Amino acid sequence: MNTDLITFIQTWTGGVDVSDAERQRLLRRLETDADFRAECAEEIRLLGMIKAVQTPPPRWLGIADALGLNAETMADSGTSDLATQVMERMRQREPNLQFSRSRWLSWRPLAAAAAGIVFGIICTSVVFAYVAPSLGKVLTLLDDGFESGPAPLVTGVPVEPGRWSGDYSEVVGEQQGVKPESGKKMLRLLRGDYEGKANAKGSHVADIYRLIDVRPYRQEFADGSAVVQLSAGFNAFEFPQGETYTSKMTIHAFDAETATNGSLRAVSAWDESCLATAGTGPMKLDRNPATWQRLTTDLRLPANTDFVMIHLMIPAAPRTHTQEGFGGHYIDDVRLTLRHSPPR
Amino acid sequence: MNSDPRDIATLLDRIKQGESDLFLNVVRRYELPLRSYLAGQLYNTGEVDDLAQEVFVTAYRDLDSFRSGEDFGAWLRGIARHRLLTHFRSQHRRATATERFQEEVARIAEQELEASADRDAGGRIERLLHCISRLPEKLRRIVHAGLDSTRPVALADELRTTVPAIYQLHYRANQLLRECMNMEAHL
Repeated sequence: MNTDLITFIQTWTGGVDVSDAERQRLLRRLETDADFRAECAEEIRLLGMIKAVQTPPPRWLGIADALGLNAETMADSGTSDLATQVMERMRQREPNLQFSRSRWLSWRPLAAAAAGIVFGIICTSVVFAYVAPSLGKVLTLLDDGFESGPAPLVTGVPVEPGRWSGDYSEVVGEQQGVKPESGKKMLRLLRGDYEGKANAKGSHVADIYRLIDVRPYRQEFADGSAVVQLSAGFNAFEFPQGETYTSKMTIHAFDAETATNGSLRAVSAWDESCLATAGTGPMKLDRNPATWQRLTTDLRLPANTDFVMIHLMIPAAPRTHTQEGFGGHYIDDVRLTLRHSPPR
Repeated sequence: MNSDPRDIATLLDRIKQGESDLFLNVVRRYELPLRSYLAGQLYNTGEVDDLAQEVFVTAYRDLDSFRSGEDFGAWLRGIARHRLLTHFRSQHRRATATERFQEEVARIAEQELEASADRDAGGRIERLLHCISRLPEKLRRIVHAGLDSTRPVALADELRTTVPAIYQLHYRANQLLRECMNMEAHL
């Protein structure tokens, strides 16, 4: 194995501290060794491709401005020819492989394919589904505009259902030019850490979770014909130019033992222990406090699901985020519904 | 960034004649190749997306300077290179060591990066997606997580291994992906 190539990748991606002398040595070799240069270029080119196919594209608001279109037109403007072809060809190759299709996935099908694969491969047993339009009744499992109810806990991942918990947050009214999406209150995410969190320094993702017991609705999805849909509004104050914040959401389905044995404290293990998962984002937050940006994602519930964990987060770009505090980032109108939608 | 040149030529003609909203089709067709090209030089997703948007806006405004019959993808990459240069210059004073390194690499390996992008036939991204799904589970997990500056440590912790091992595994995954994409190209 080419040791210099590995060191080069480590240095280029910024994952390892490398001395200035070592950087200069690598650059000198890059300049003088054509084979090494070609290898490095191939490697970072592939890293770039992998990154591009695994992250959803931006909302292209600047292009909308240039073309004189509004964002809705951009979002509803159809699908990529290439993306459609990719989806179709992959289905033809693997008829048993189906794709989770969240809202952003529905208009970003290629990214959806990537995300579908990703979520699919990291769950122990994943149910992929091409979700058909709702055919029957819709049950509301959660509809929270933070107008009432107990304040969210600030103790990290919840171990009990029915209450928000996560990083430091508070329920607030209108502030910093941000009005609640509906009603008079909304949730403000204050920090990227929670009470008692180990290694909190430098945490740059504000997280909030809620565990929901879906066992009372078992008869609705026991035949695998139901889909839960998570939807939430995100907003931010007019943060400084150059700072970057995004929003993301995931839904994970768990059996009762996994959900209650304390293992969910280790979020990084969820993808291994869940029954199914879906996610959406990152969606870049704009700097306009007047606009709420909404994410939506769907998950077909496996028949043996007992609990659903919803996870909403606002990551700050690490380079621009220099403190634990978030200046003014908000969530409102979180809805989780369950509807019948037989697999095709 | 290859596409059927006749399709693109027709599309661009209609945009030039005033059907500006058709430019969305151009964005859809070229966004992934462009973003992957930029991500192979910058890697920070936010910066990649901002620059990709600037490239498309510039392309739209300068469409009259595109000569029919030329490779539109290569033309977009030309705009992208110019934008990258401006970006690196504007960021230079407050850039991190990693960003300065990326800037130098982009300068030194410009020809190789361009040649690599030029080899991207239409099906390469499809093959990449398909090949990711064929990787062994541990390698898929690493490829999915990516190599952003904050992730290797967490990933190493999660997979109970070391940070250097994560990079070696990712390198191995990249080798397998390339082999798989080459094989699939000949199917």
